[in-house]
Amino acid sequence: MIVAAAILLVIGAGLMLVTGLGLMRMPDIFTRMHAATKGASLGVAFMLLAAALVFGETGVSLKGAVTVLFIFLTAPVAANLLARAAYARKTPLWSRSVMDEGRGKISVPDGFAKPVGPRKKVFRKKSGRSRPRC
Amino acid sequence: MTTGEVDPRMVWAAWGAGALLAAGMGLTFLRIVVGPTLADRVVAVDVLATMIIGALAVVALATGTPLLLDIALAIALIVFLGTVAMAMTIERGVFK
Repeated sequence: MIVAAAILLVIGAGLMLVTGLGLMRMPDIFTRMHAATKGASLGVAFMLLAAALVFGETGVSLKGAVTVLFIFLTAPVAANLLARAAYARKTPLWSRSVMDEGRGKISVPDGFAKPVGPRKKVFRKKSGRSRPRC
Repeated sequence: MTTGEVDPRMVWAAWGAGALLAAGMGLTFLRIVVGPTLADRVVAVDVLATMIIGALAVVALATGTPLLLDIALAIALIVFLGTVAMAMTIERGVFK
């Protein structure tokens, strides 16, 4: 049991290393997200499974299972939101990507500020009363 | 929840896993430093939090302390909120 848990632990850490490599090597943010979400969730699932195998108590195993379930539920949601936001803000795709399926479909919602460029200077009108200096 | 005896083979595996994890964390930190946009940095911070959960599992196995998995659960609950908030901030276009 100890040996199986050790092997699972090293496999999980190796998946984490692969995630870091993908995060560093992938060309644009969308492919990077693809590497990050899957590798990290699978790696942490392996490591917590190893912990559950070694400790062998119901409470600890349940805690590990809940953590893994929560990560598996939230990592895709967070990645989807981030990818939508980055796409709507015109983050450039990889120069060699062959498809752009979100063109014209994903844009910034109406209430949000449209321009992204340099911020214009705003001169505030001076009111009659000035704030007393401390 | 006491600190029990730890098998020496598990300690060796924890050292190896810790080395791999540290390499991955270093690469993720590098992405936080060089990431061209804010979204890259947010993705990297999200991955870093997941790696910290893994590191907590490694330390729990190396020292025989199952109490550390509570902290892992708390981190997993909190980081999701931060990522969603940063995604909304990016969509609003406040920062580039």
